[in-house]
Amino acid sequence: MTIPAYRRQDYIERSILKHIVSTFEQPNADLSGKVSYLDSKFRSDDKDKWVALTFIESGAGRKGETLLQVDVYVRNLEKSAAAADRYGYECARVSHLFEQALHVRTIQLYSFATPSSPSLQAKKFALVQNSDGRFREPNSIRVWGEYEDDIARRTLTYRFILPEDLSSAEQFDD
Amino acid sequence: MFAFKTNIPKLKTKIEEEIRLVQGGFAPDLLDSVIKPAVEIAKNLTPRSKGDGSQGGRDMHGRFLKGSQHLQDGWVQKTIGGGGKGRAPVLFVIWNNFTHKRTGEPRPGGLLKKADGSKRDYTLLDIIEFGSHHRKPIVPVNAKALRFVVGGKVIFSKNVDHPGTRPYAPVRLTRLWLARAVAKFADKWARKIAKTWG
Repeated sequence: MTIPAYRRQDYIERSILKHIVSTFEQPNADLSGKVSYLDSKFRSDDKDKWVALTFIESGAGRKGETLLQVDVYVRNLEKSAAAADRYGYECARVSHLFEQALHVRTIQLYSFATPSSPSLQAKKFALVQNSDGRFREPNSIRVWGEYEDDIARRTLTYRFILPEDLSSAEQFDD
Repeated sequence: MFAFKTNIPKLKTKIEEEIRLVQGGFAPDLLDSVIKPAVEIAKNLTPRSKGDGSQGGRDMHGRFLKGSQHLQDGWVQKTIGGGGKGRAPVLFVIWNNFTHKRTGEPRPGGLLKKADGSKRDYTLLDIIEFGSHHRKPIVPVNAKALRFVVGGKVIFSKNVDHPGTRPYAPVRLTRLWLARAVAKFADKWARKIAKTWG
């Protein structure tokens, strides 16, 4: 018995990332090209603002839940400059863009068997639902008061589950 | 003349039986099957460095005291209201005693320090929970080289490129586990109580 493609952890995670990235690739999206999925080679020295995405749990499709941590960092630039983000408003604005992108009830799942052209999995979705049962809302928002001397930071945590995870049955029968 | 026959006495007996069941075993069972395992899960999710930990004070030279404990050792739980009688309304609190008070407030001594000695508004546990970003290479300011200890070995270096800390999320992942475990526990006790009705 094989695990169906819609329950594959990597496909679920990549479908979520695809949704986020495609949102920011829209024309006029001012974060285009600045959202990166963190890897060990990532360096933030030369960036003024960046968003780090990290999956901290990958249980959706296995009777669990998938948790995505979204970290928004904004460097304050020169504190004396007019463009300085000394109260973290720019960080809040970028964080809001992410909340907008994930303010959806469902995220379409894809198969990444051919990574360059992912194929849509008909009628298969991940739900954006927090632990309190609310749809479209983050699980938690952490606003760091004084994270670093020159960097403002906000951390959002999102929870994703598949509708199939909600069944009370102990196992999948697919 | 009328004579009523009701099952009220029988109901009363059953309800008393349920109360005895809940008062006698609910809280201890919750403690043993959910709360104590949750503390272990929080411990297992908290990373532990090699050698002595940093949670136990420093000597007069600012070096960590030998045998100091690790953040991982700080996870504890307290039962409030469940004292001798095992009565039903009970509150369990799980927290890291090195960084926070039982109320959730950070301990002043647990707050991380800035380079100038003043304190930040978060603790080491926040960094373990949420991670940190890549730092600009750290270079010595008042000395020729940086000195630090890795795995018991003293290392000298002209700069350190810190890649950042990944989020280990011991609090959020333990909460997730707790939500599932409590639902299963409630189900188990609902069945147990239903059994008293035969």
